[in-house]
Amino acid sequence: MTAVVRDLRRARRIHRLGELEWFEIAYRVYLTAIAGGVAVMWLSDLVSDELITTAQLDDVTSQGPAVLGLFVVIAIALGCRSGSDGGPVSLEAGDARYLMMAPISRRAVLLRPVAQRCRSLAFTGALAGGIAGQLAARRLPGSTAAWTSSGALAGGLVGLAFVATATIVHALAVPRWTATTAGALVVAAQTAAAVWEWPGPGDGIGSLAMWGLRTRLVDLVAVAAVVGATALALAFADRLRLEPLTRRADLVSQLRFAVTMQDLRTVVLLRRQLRGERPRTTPWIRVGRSTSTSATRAVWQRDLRGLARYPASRLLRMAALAAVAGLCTEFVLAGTTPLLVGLGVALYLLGLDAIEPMSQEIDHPDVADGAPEPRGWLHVRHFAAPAVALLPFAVIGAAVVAILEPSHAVGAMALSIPVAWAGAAGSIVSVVRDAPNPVEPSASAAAVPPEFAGFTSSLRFLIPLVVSSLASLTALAMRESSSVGTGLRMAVFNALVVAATGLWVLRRDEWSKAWRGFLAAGRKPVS
Amino acid sequence: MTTAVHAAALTKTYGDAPALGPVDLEVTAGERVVLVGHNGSGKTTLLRIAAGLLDATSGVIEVSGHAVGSLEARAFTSYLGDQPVFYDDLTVWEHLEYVARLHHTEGWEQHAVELLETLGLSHRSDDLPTTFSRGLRQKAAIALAFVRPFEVLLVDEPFVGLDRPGRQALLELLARAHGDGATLVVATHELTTVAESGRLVALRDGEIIFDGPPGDADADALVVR
Repeated sequence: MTAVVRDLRRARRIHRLGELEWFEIAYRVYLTAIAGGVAVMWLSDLVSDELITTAQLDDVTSQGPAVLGLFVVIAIALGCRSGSDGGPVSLEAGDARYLMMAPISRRAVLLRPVAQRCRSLAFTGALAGGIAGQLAARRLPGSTAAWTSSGALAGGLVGLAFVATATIVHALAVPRWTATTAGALVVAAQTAAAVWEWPGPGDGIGSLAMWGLRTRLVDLVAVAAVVGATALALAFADRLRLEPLTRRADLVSQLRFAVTMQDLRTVVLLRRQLRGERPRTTPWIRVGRSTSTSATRAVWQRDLRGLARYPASRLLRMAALAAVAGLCTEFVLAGTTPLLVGLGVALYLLGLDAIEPMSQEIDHPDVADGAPEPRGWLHVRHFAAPAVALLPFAVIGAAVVAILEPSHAVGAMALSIPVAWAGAAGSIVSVVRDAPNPVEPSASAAAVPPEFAGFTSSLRFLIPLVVSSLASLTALAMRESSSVGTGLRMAVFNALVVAATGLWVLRRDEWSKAWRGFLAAGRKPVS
Repeated sequence: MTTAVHAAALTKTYGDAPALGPVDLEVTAGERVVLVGHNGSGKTTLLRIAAGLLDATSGVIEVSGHAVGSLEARAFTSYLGDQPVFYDDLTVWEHLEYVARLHHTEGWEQHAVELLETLGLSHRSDDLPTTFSRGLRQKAAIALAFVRPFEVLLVDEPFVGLDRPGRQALLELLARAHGDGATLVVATHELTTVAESGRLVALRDGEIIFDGPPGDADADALVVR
């Protein structure tokens, strides 16, 4: 490596070490260790110590490699996406401007970040795999050490597969649609392998994860493939392109800051920029001009125009989220209750994409505040267009349920729309709650005592997810009692969730003003 | 006469939005070219492609006979962008040292001292440029563009935020570089600087609409969309 680059890195490391707050770092490590320990204990508690039956063991042996192989193909698919978006590494803006434009070998600049990315994701994967292996050992034959090490090895390889795929895809400048198609194909192939017991591309690593149970030397071919791909990625490091690296350089640092601040809207916007996801210049459907002077009509038209410019990638993502929601629903109906959380999260993310016109309104408060209508009135009118936009995606979710279990088709079709609407309620809560109020800036955050700050910020993050998850209770209710009456009651329940959200959006400013007045009155000295 | 910048059928699109081209441009070594055009006309895109910061969608571009982005092209080309970029944790002087050394510059210290004096930044050389005002950041960026050797200097909107002495210092540095034989391509809205250049290239909606001596054109009319 060029001496000057080495010197700079050393000097900057010394600067950074000098600025570190060691006490704060120790406190963070302490908190992480406690959280990690609690999480592992909680997971261990979920798994009983009872050994599985022989029949179950046969199923695990025959289907395990294909099911576990899904992890590696998902990592490959994500790598394809990341690489086509300019990942997996991000440089500092200064490095992108000065180092990459200097007459020094780009290998000297880029090999290290690529290798670091390999190392960190291999470690994360190995940690997750090791924990999963340790949990598996409690119910499956084989020693804990064997399960833990095979899990860690497979997990590490999953992490490496992601970085290697992303680097190669980036270096070869594979177009996004090609990368997405390739990723979708490997996931589809592995899913087919898991369902119909065909050979799949991820079987080797999946089988390696089960070395705690039995050893198959042929699995080492998959290890060699991942190691080979990683070597190729390192060899391709100097082919990473400056344009995506420069774009990511600015965005990734902003993204990290937004994540730290739990600023979801900024995270969403920055991630879109990272992916180069822009509204279409030419809308899918041209929304004609209107001579109406109705404000309600103006909002409706504005939202339709926004929706008509959704890029294909966002529509595909929404379709995929709807399909995931359908998949989770069917699993919940089949008895896998924890997937209620997956259903809630999928509905929440789908809602976030659907309510983009409303989010745009909230991003530009001057427009709403300049309008001769209360903010809440205006925001509620933004419900209509996303509600219509969600209809086709609700049908996609219902179709997935119907394909997996035809006897659930009628119920799924009937309830999918109210569930999709209620699921979007959490997204509305999260977006509207963060809306700035230029008339009366909130002082509530400043009034929170420091010891409650962590609790309040956790609540801020969780409440929207909880609201979206209310819709997922529909699947649980239908599982317990699949009848027309239950269906009707759950439709009404979902409608009430949407109505309550609408009422909150409409009256939020008044309620918040009344609450502040109440608090201020309490602080007045008694004469 | 050798060619400093050669672009043929160069295009750039962002998604489905065209930003540039097709553009054909030949800049001879030692020329001083001013690029003008309305906002969004493609000036910055053209300069960033020439600097290697953007990939062209199609077409060819070379600097001093070398493909943009190659080791040789990077050694020959200095780029002063419209948005100054700095490390958070390096002072102005440390930035200068770093960039100069990256480009194997001999006797850079004396040159750096002179640059800082010319730009009126001597008293701030040990400060972090990330804490500077827009004008001071621009001055620091100018110093970084000039501290290293170059044959081609690509400059994008260099006068933004500069005070009168800063503008004067920049014009002086540009004249000195041109006098030393460097090729200058400057994109600007400051039409007062057009007269000092030997060639005016005007862009409109990503295409060249004028290419010739500044005296032959009504520069004000060329920047209107």
